[in-house]
Amino acid sequence: MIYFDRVFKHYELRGGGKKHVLRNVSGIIRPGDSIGILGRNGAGKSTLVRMLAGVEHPSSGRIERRMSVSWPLAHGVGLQTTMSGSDNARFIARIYNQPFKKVLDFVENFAELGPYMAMPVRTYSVGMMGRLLLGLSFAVDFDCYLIDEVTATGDQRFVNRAQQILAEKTRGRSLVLVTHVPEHLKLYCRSAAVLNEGSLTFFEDVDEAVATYKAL
Amino acid sequence: MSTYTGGTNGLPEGFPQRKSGLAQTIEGFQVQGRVIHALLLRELQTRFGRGELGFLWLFLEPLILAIGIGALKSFTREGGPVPPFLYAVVGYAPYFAFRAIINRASAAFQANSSLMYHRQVRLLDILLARNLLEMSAVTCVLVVILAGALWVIGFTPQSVPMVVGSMLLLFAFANGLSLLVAAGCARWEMLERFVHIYTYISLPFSGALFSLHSMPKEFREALLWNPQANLHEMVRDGMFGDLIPAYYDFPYVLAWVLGVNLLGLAAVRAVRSRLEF
Repeated sequence: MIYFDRVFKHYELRGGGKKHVLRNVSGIIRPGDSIGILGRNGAGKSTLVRMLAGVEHPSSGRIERRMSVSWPLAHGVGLQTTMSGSDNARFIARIYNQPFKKVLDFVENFAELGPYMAMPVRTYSVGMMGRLLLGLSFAVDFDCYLIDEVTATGDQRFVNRAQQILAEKTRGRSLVLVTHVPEHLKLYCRSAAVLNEGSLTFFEDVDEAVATYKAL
Repeated sequence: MSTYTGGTNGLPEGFPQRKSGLAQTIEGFQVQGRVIHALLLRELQTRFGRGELGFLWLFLEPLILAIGIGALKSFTREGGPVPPFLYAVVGYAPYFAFRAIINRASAAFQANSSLMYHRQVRLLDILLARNLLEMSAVTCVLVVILAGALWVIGFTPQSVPMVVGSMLLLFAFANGLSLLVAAGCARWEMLERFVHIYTYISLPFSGALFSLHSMPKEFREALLWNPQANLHEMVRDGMFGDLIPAYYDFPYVLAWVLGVNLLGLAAVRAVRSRLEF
């Protein structure tokens, strides 16, 4: 479960002033929930995901996590781009206390990077990096996955495989998905929320959320 | 997901409780140990590559530097009754580690913000891993050089525990400062420039180059306010004992070391919630 209560977040702007990203956002993510988050560019979706992950701290309010939550799976983050794919797997295995062999086998099988596993991650394409990221996080087996757009960058084959694993994984587990692709939202999520001007509105029905988002 | 407020203890009813007290602390230390271990190995690898000589470079580089400076100093015959080569190395080698620790701390957050997306990786762990590495590199250098000194001229340090103890204190002092620098630079980017300038102009005042005994009294008195100068004197005292009179105030140094470490820990903690990714 992730519980967040009256969360505010603002950034201090260079040259004075404040940018308010989230105002009074509350909610609960229970085991088995799969929530899509919609919002325009710069609405604060990624900030919200980073705060749910515990990477960034709210300006005020509280966030409590009582399940294992993945790091925010966004492009390139959580990886060391000068290291190879398999060295990244080694690092992830160490900090998440997993057997290296298990993580490496899973990633090799899932991400299908072949010889690229021995290449520095900075040489990867966006899609390859997304595959590596998701592969690493699936290998660790979290209770809750926070996915920020990385599913959108893959080719059809990868999208299908990710869907398949997420469908397995999210049974009894939780998913928070940030995406701009309404079709992905309908595939992965059973409910959705729209983030606009700092406030988060929940919808039981995904179609309703998509309609609200499109009307923004 | 649903909006929800109320319940006991500010949390909704039926919300799982966190592990309490000691159990949580022990788990925390286990996680920290794993993270520092992983960071250490990563740091070794990214800095020195995976090549055959990779890990060796860690201390070959400062070793060559120390030998070079030591050889140069041999010609100037500083240090009075002690071997000038050793006199120079014993001052420079710890000083270089000290400076590297402080300088590298200024970019600690920026250079590692991607790894801090894993919430168990903390700024403190990143700094501890780096500092441990610098510390072990210069320790290896000193061990090699002292072994060489024993073999070539039959020199042994006057008091090995004193050398080890004062080196540890010197590293602890650098560690505390590095925490303050890393926290400060993560908060105010401007600070990074000043740190580099400071580490250069502070060299003459560090007490690393010359023993305080070789200085005029007023100079010595002034430099003794600098805990770093005290620490270098302590290292020299352990090495050369009575050959060069040493000047230092141990309680004063200890107070500084504890002070900067406590302040440093508080600073990295205080800055955590303000970090922007």
